[in-house]
Amino acid sequence: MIGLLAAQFLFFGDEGGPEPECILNVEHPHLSTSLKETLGISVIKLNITSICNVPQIHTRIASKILKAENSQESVAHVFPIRIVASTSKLPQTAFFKNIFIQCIPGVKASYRGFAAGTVKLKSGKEVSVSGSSEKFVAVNCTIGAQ
Amino acid sequence: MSYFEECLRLGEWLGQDDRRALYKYLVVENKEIYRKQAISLLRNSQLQRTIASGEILFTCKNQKVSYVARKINTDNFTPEMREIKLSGFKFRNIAKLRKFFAQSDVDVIQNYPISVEKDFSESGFGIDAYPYYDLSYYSNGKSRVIGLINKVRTNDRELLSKLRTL
Repeated sequence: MIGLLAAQFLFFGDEGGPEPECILNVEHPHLSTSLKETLGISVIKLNITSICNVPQIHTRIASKILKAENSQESVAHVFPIRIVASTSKLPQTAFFKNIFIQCIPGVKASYRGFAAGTVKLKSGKEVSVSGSSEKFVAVNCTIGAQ
Repeated sequence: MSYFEECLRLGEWLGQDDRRALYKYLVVENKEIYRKQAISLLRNSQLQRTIASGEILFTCKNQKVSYVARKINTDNFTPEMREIKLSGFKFRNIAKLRKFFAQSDVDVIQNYPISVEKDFSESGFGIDAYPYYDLSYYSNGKSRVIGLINKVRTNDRELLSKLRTL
């Protein structure tokens, strides 16, 4: 899907072309060690990318991490709504990089990520997007109570 | 290195609590600097300054102030990321602008930190959609009443004292 959108963008560019389409790629929440090295804290990070087949100005998303517990799904953490602008090098893409939350290492829990929002295109149109990392994945770190 | 200096270097690793505490710290610590800059902006309609590795350009037009930013020594500014409406009262506008400046500084610090090997500007300028001076931030865009309740419940004292420790 991502390749198809990129190919459409390369082929049609900014003018005419296909109906604007955008997707939200939500990766599995994962334990990041970068902050462990600098500040000595463990965090669970959620990488999200919005990709369109036409240039965008920015993407605005609400995101959360869901936890599987006793065969039930609950909200482990809700992140503040974020806006990320596209870059001149990749005008059809917005990368959300600092979506993370501190966790307590050594305790296993299963998480998945979810995000939804809107993409503001350079044409002025707005496109709704949503995405999920779908499967719950075990992480050796648990998010405390909000 | 103080915690404030560390915040200037953390960039995308500046957590949501740190960003909010940093805003509260800057509003108080830079009160006088922001007041002078607000007067200058209202007089000249433009203000340019730097923080961490970023450059901010504020523009005042049609009773609105907005900003664009870029990494120092680069060409391309971001699109307009935030704006505030001004009122007819100078005193009120200065107070609003002080908060807007602190918010903009936090936005720029997280996107253009000091001395990073990696080029953060590659990933696009990212901000919290609701500014920390708005109750909507505390309710994530829902009711302002919920925002007020959550704001009262939010405790940044520990982070603020870390920031105030030199």
